[in-house]
Amino acid sequence: MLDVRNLSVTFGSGEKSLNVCSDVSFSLAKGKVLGLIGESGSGKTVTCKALLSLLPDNASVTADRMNFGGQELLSLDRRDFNKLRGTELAMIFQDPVGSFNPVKTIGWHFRHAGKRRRDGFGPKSDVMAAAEESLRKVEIANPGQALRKYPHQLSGGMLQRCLIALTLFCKPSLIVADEPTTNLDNLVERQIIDIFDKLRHEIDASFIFITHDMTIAEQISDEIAVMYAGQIVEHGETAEVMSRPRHPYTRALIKTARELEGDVDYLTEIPGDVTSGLNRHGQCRFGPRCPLHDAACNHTIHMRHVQGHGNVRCIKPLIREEAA
Amino acid sequence: MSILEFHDAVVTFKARGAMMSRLNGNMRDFNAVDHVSFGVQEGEILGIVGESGSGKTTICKAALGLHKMSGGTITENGQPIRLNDGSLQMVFQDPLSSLNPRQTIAQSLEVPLRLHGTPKSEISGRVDRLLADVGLTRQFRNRFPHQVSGGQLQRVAIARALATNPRVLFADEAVSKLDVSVRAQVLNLLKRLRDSHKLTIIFVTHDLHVARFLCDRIAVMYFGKLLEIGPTKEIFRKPCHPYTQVLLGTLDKDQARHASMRDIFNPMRDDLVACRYQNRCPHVMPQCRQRHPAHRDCGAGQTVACYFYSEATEVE
Repeated sequence: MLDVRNLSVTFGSGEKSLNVCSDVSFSLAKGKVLGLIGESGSGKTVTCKALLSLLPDNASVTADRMNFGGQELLSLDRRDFNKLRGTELAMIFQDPVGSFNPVKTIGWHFRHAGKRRRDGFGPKSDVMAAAEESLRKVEIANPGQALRKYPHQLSGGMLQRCLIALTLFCKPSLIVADEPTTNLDNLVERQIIDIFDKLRHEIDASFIFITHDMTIAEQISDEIAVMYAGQIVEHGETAEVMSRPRHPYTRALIKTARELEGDVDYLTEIPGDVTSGLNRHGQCRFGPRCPLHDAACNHTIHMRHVQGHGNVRCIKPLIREEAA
Repeated sequence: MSILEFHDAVVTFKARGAMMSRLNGNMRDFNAVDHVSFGVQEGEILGIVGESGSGKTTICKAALGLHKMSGGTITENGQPIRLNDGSLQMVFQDPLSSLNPRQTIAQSLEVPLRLHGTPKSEISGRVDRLLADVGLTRQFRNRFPHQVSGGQLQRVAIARALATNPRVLFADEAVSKLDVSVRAQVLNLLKRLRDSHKLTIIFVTHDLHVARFLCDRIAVMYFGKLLEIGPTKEIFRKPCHPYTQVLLGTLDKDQARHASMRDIFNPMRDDLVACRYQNRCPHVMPQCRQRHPAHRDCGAGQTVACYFYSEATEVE
């Protein structure tokens, strides 16, 4: 369905260039959900925007392969990509308020999106009926009324659900959800996650779900990819990654998440911050923050496959694994 | 003896609009904080939880004089609160927008020191000490906010709040914009500062995991009303209010589809006298539609505003 090999994104050029994403490879089968985890600045949003060709002009994107449903995305020109975006590839953004036109009704957005649908629509009443159906899927109680509302008249949770409905309206086959619950409170977050959980079984689409919350990723995704400083550091089946994380970074993230659920006096910290990992070419990017770091890590670390687990970008876990 | 006492506090947001729509009842004033009373003990971390619009930020701002109270009192050690002596301080959600982008971190930290009369000769040393208190080095002095990561910036915001030696620190969603790994650093810092600076912290959050980790007591708010307050352990062990039960239910991964999202309270339409939670409550009784319940004691320092709660439900 989606196959990405060696994706690399660089902003700017020359000496001031900043490599924000390098050597990113993953593939996603039809109907699967990939949870993309990492802190801010780790390149998860950039990776997904590169997929949808939404990056600004000063970003240069290179990849050995970026194949989506048989089409090579990098070779498409702007017009062909516009046909694809919204109808085949779609993205749900973090901030629902900013995603809607504030002076237009929700219904207008559906009419507008409906024009892009491949199978087309007849009269306005058909579009509205389909829109209501779509809103009902995300459990909006009174869809007819919601369609006549303006974005500011709806609460954040309602609006996020409308946005999801709007995205589904065009029946895309790959949906990228960029931290769709970060700005919402616990009850609403739970509700949105439940809706996603239901939809992934109902509709025929693959999801990439970006989040920095391990517990959410665990609940919703089939596979987890952990990103750090522009690289995927661990990638595998959700249950396997959560129960037996191999990379020290993943291990620390999961530990903190578990501690918050449990009962401890102080949480385990990862010292330092992610900026220490940028521009560390030819050595492990997590090095400055890693408890296991030593001289052996001072070379380019490649992804390696671990039998029955997935891929890990660390030389240490295997050694530890053998010792244990 | 509680260090801060909210007594029947009311903050009203006035409806603006034409006389006619006011008379029609299309618009009306709304109490964003509606007759809330509770005390904050010295040295404790009190968590205020609730969804957006529940008035948790408003009540903090009222204590700091950023919102006018339309009724009730807030006292500090039995005295009316003094707003100018720096004994109450606040840390906001977004550190980037709460610091001046054109001032270096040292300059930002100097302002409160200067305003509160620190002699010029001591200011530089105090800035260093403040940075050290929040675990930052001297190198940060000359950086600008955009050159510093989010977690470090939130520490700077905390350092600035500490500059006036506050006795009570209000933290409004201080970690909700931060990543999980950085969040742990800031949460640990707050816990340590409570001990080292003998701080009292009022921590506003919508994240129940964070509340459970950090707070000694938790207050649950819902559209201006305080529904339940008590020690964290008790609240998590025995939530008395139906809303608290739903809220805590969201933490349980296996309990699917519980949070019935019936109509939430709408201040423009709904009865302001009746129980605020009646639209969503599964146990709604006739008296709930008459008056919002008063707080009643349910043991171990926990009180709840609900008619449904009684000894009988506890036995169950």
